[in-house]
Amino acid sequence: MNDPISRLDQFRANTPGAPMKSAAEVRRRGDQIRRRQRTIVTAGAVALAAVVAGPIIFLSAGFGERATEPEPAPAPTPSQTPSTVAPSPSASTPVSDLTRANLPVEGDLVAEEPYPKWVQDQTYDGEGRSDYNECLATSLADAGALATFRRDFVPEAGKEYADSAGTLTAVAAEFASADEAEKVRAKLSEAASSCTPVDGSDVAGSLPVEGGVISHGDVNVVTYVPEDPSLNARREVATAVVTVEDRLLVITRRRGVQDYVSPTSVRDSALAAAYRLAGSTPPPTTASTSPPSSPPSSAPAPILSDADLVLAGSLPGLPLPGESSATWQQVATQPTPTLYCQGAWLSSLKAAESVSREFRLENPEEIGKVNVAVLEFATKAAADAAYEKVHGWLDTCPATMADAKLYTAGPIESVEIDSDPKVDRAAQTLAEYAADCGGEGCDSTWYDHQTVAQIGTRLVLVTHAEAGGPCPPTTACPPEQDADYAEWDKRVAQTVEATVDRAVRDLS
Amino acid sequence: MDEDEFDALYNASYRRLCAQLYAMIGDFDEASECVQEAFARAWAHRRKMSSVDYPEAWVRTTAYRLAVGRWRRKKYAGRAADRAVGARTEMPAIDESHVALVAALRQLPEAQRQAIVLHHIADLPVHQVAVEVGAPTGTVKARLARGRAALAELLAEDNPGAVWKEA
Repeated sequence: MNDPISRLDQFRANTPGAPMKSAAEVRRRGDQIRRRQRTIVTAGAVALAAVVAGPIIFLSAGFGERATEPEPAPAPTPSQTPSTVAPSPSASTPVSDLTRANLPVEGDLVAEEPYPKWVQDQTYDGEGRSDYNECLATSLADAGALATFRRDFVPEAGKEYADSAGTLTAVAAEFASADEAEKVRAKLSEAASSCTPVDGSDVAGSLPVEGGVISHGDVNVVTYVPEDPSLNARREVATAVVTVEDRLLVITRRRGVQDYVSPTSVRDSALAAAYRLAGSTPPPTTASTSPPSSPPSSAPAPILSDADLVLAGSLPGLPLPGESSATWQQVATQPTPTLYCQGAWLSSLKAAESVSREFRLENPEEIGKVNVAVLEFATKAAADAAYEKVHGWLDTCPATMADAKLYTAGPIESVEIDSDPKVDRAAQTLAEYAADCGGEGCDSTWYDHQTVAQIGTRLVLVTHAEAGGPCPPTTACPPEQDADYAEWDKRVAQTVEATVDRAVRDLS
Repeated sequence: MDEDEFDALYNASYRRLCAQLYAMIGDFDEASECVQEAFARAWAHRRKMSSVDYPEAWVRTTAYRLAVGRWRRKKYAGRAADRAVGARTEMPAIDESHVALVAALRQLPEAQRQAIVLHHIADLPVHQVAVEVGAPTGTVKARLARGRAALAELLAEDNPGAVWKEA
């Protein structure tokens, strides 16, 4: 019998029996849901009431400080090394907290005259697939590193001498102890100097790397005649190996040369990069040709104010068919991270200035959240490092500041943002995580679009969050085609653009 | 909606709603869990339910959305579905012909499947199906016609030789 109507009729008549809970049990479950909803609504009312008190809290916390964030750890005493900022792993359970943010960035590197500046090419978790130094036969992982990261740099394309400037690679590693790191450093320096894997290599020179946060370090340079007869220059390999407590950095510059030139640029690059390896930012004068002992200059930072923060009226409305319209309300700063994927409080980024603002959309339960923060850094290098740090958070979504369960974090992607002045770079990712259901299972889900944008020394962080469940806030449930996402994407883009537009007005 | 009204609705419609949702999503125990959770939500919103014209339709729609949400999470997050109402209960064996029918239904586009289930299994008139799925009556009729034709072919494939086909 394949007549579908007969089969459907038979199905209806002979309905499969499903085990039932008693109606009383289901009602008890309903009562639990009801209690949970009341809790959420009450919390929302408290948040709205706090709008009035918000400015008082904001001012009492000081301009640009986030009132409800925990106090940062006490500043290290002069006798403490920078590794105090980034705690060393315990001896019993060695765990690395090294991240990509500990790799040098373009601003740390010194280009030798007349070569163009170094620009970032690729970054890897680990030491990468290709060899980066022909003199070093052992990988850092094989030498016992707990974690390694690598970043490749190339000369700025199109500039004069770009073709002959070579390449530069930085590899950062963390070991279980400072002693272990120092042992590995000594072996690497010896290997860089002797360069035994390359037949006919000659030692060209060496230079100590001292000062700043460096524990031990040097640069060794070897040259050799490449096997390829079409190359008429000698190959030069300059290897800087430095340690900062239990962390180690190898910077390798490879290029063709006619004559030996003292590798002061590699030394200065290593000196500046060591700060980032330690988890701090280099002083402004370090990444230059001036002596390492020069006192850091303090450039005056622009003062941020709440004029740099987006207003509720600029945020896009949320269509609510059949419901009264919900409007965005500014609320007092909440004890929650600006970005769900944050790995630490924003104060850890060590911005010179910061301001933040939060908004909620309630109907009557919380159905939308916008968190914004604008950070101003003393130097471009510091802003670069902070961007890398935030980018790393969005990439890996540690969400260590959040207490809601992460369902999925999408890939981080570059985004275009229209602004004047122009955004240097911006990236965005979507995280989906459990909404607060009072400890009970439910299908409510938050969909957070988290964006970081850099404009010179300024970073703008934005979260546009909408509640969903069972489906995301698309126009169809479940979404089946790209058009179903269009309105949601538009709202996110409007929030980001309005926030960035406001944050850069004083820069134009 | 008071306790007596809720209990009456639950006892009268739970099993048929489970069957309808099973026909829509193809997973019997997932269907029964979603229906139970939807009833719990109905009780949580009992004041609102008093003004709802068709409480059973409200529960069905809520259960379907819950099921879709679980499907989405399982698809994108690769995690087990929430068990909101409690531990998994032992499910009865399902008639083989029902399994074949549900398997065929699952191969239909979602809109056609929904229309077929609501009209032929939930026994709703076309205009009510249109209201429930938010589509014009003509569209629902077209979905029903196309869905039935597709279902006939799928059921014939399931039982080759039962329907004669021209070469």
